[in-house]
Amino acid sequence: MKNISTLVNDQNFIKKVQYILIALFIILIALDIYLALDKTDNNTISNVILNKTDNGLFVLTYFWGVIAANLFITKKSPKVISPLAGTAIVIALAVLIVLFNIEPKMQTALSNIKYNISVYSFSMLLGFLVGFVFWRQRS
Amino acid sequence: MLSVQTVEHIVIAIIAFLVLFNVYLNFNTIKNDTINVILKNWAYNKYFFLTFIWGVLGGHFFLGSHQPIFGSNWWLPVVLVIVIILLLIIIGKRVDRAFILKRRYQLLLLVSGVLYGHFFWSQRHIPEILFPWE
Repeated sequence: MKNISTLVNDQNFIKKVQYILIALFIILIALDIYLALDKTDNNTISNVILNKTDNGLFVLTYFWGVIAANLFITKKSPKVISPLAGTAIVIALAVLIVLFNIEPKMQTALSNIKYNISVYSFSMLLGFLVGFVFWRQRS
Repeated sequence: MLSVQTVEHIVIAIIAFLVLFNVYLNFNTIKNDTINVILKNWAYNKYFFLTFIWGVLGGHFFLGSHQPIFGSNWWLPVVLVIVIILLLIIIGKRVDRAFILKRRYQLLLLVSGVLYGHFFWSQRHIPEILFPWE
């Protein structure tokens, strides 16, 4: 970890990063519109993400929740654990989900219930809670 | 023509770029320049539509009630979400530079976005949506 006092506040650099992000958003939206209108079926970014999640990327929805908590829910009190440790916990849990193949197990458990509950509602909520506890930003 | 596989590679490349770029931004000497900090600052100031979009996309991709509330009018939720986002952008444009949105409103935006994606505009409502020209 670098000493905080060596860090500088460079608004110009931050501006450049902002421009890169905006450019990336615009490219993604334009690409997706092109993909929706072209002749190849089911190749939009949405379809690609949908296929991936159906093939067992429970983790992707977990990250949705983690990132939602990180970006949109800030923390007023000082951090209890260091950001690096928090990041490590978030990634370690994702690795555990893959290693223990949680998604099919959840699917079978849920198929016994008569209500049609999506597995991803659990992973999104789990991600959000993990992000809320370990990976929030200061306000 | 881009095949499904090419698009997959593009999506993976963009995610990998964002992750590596963010690691670099985290460990360089400039503070508050990571993607997380920039997006947080945007969402808490003028661009709180981002919170709503994140919720809508979560509900759109990953959740979905059995039937969409608007039935077979597939275009209605698309138009409606664009109108809502434009309204949020217009409201956001009017706020002050020093404005900070309250955290509870962020949560409200996120949850209402998820509910919108779940009940009105999901990819998982019905397996096939037929477009009028098909």
